[in-house]
Amino acid sequence: MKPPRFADKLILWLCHGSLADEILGDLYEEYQKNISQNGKIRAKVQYWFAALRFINTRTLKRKNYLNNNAMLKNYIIIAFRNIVRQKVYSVINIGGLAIGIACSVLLGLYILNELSYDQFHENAPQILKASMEYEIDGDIAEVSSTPTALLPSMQDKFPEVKNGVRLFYPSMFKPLVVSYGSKAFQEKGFCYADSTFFKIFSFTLTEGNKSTVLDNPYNIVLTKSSKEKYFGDEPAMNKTLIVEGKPYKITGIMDDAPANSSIQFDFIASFSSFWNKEPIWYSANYFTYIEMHQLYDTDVLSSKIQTELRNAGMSDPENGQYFGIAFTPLLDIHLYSDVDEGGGDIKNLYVFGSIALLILLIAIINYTNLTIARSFYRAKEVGLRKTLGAYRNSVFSQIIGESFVTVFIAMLLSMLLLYFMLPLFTAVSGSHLEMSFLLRPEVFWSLIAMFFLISILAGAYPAMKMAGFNPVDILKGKYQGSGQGAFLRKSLIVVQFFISLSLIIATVVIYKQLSFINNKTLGYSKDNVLVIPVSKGIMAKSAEFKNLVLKDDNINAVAIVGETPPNIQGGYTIELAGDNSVSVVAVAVDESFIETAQMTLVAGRSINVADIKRTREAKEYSFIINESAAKMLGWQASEAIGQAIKLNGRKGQVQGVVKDFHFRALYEEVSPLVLFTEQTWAYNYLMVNINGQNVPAAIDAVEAGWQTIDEATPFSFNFLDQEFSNLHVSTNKSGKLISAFSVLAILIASLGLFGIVSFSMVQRAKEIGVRKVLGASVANVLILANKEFLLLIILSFILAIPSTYWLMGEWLSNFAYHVNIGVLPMVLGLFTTLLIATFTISFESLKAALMNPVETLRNE
Amino acid sequence: MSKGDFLGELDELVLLTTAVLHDEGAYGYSVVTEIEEKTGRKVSLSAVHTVLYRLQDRGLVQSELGGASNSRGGRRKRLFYVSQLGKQAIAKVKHQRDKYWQEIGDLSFGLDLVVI
Repeated sequence: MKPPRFADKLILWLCHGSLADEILGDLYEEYQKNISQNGKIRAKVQYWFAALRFINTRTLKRKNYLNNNAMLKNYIIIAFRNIVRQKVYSVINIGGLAIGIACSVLLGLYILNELSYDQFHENAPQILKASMEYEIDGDIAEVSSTPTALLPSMQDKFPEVKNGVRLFYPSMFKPLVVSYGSKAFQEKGFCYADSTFFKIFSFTLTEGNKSTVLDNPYNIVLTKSSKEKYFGDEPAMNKTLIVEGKPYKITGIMDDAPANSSIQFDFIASFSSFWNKEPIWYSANYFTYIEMHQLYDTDVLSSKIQTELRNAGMSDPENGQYFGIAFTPLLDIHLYSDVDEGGGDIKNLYVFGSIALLILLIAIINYTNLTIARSFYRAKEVGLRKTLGAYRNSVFSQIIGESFVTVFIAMLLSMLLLYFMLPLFTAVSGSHLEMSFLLRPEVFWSLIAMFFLISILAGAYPAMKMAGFNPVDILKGKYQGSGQGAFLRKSLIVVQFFISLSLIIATVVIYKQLSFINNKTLGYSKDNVLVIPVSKGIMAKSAEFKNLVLKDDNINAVAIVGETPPNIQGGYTIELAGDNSVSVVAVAVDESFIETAQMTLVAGRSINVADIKRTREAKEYSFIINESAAKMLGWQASEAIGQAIKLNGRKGQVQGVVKDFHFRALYEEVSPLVLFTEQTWAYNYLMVNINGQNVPAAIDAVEAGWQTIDEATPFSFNFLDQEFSNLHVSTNKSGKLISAFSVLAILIASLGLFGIVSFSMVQRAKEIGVRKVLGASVANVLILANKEFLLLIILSFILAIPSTYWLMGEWLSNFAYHVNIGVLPMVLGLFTTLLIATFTISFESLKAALMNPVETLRNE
Repeated sequence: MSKGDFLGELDELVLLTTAVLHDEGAYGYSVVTEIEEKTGRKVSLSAVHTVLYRLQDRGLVQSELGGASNSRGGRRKRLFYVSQLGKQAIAKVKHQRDKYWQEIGDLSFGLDLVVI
């Protein structure tokens, strides 16, 4: 009666020699007794249980009688000796791995940071942000701002809503002037919020009472850094700040909003300070956040509201008058929301995540490749160990142990690299990453896991291969110079260069698009134009200011406008005959706008001073439309002149048609635009066209003029081209980051190539010697060496063409205006890679080619 | 007496059994059956095994590999013998217990001893 076979195998596998014998013998005796007492089936089950109970630490510790410690010590010594002896290979392996690990840890931290946005709010999962949807010409437009009436009516109708807060950033139109004593600044981060702000969001209030700080009108909470800006080390509580001429009492001080908060501000003032009327529906400049009692399906909530809106007659989808409210969970705002500007993008995380893994892969391949290539050097060592009684297992663990040692050193080195890379990365990407992130438990354990994973991935194949060496063959000398694993090695090189080539091509395409953006004829001049937020004081005396400033030779033209070109957002409607209307973008301008921005008129004339006077005195408006608008309205440029149109109730005549210009980022197509004259309140910015030869003098002149007219308001300005490139900042960032990582990728891949070539040259030393004796020149040898590897690179190139063409095509389609990929990036990518590879190969093979054949052949 | 000299209850039982089986040969299975016979207590093979090795580590028993037999499926057995140190340990335990029993006898509070 045989006991269960697998149970026996298990014990034999776990325990060595005599120990397994003792255990199995005892089990067998017990088994025989159990069969007679309990029958065969129960006996078998009992046998299994009894066998399994032997799997405990006490038994396993007695696994074998070899002196493990001494052997382990020997393995480590051999590993270190190998690292020290093979300096070049070690530098390549450790260096490559360190760079690869540093890159992937860096990008991993970046991804983690992006994912952490808004997580610090205690009730984050229950907080939703409302956005507004409305129908224009059959399209649904979505904006993130909402009316003031939304929150009160939701709290009224829906018991599911626990709490809510409205935010208003007056500075989204133009900066506010804030002053304390003699200190005055234009502030862009000014926010009004309902008194529930600190109950819903978990920002840290360091002074003041969380539940009452924003209860009264003209209460204000300062962040730590704005407190320091105005008060330094002095206490600020209960002091008074002047905001746009009105006194605000400081009721609280808080820590700065964390960098990973989607809500950013420098000041929070009570909502009631500027809004004490009944809430209304028809003006929507406010952000509404609501907190639900529990997790809530956003779709259900918006359809409930839709029903209410329909009942109230505010939404009428059947007649093309759809109006709705949608919700985005707070935690999704940063990565998934399209309507909020300046957020991250989940796509970027995928892109950078893949890049991190690919670079790491290149480094791992280096290690695997070089270790396999060199394995024949160590064949004798393995042969000898095996002859002296080493098991397959022990050879395996020795070789993989070396990979653990190498990866460990590489990891330490990568932490050092990371220390230097972090500030650079932060400067380019704008995400605030710190070394201390590494100590977070989830990061720390990931690093440990990464250590094991890389060590095993890199070392497993060579270890398996070497453990399988047959000692008899080795000691006979059969392994020498064999092409062990040549196919695998070559395939891995192709993979490496496929990755690096793709990254280089992507970089070139991105830079092509960037230079296209920067050099595109925009239809207006973005160079040497200052953009200055206008103050009330200047607005009141605008003509005087203009005359004063224009006296300076360095100032060419000054205009006052509602919004400035790279980002004109204002949505208006032109009412047509019948009940029809079309939506357009429109902006208030003055008589100097066309001249200041150096635009071209296709027909008619620019607005003049008389037009503006008529608007202010007789409400007769004047318009300039762009070509697209003329086309949409069905007019030739010349026909448009003198046509009467009505823009949101403003009646007037078209005076001119301006050539289409890019008034928004190049992601968007040029749409119909109207420039119109307006009452004074609609003007927010000064545009000053200055002499590019003497920029500092021009700025001084504008500032001097400003001080003369409005001494109370601080002067601040920006360059128009700067604002333009800010709009394309994410493209700029990705361009810089991807180019940096592609440089690193090609560096690691070249390191690997260098190692493989030098190995191959040593291996082929005799062949080269014979060739030289038979009359081969140095050039012949170089060609021989290059041919083998350059073919591999051309193969990777062929593989890289379709994938990068498709990927970069996808990326370019984000832009309404973009370049064609063309041949240049491909050719440039191939050329760069070939150049680097040829240099690497030739550098190493030249040594072999120049060697005197006697050296290599004399042993034969 | 330091803590390290302390004999656990099962340790003591196994050590005594090993002494009992000195002539037949004490090994895992024989110790298990002997304990079951004497006390009716079911002890698992692995537990006895662990104890035997622990006792060996403490020098209380010694062992040698015995021969293979068909009743064991052709496996060898490891035979354990109580060492000099082991004998001292059992004697010490007995001595300690005896002291207690003497006192209980002296007090004679009518305790009826039932031997199980």
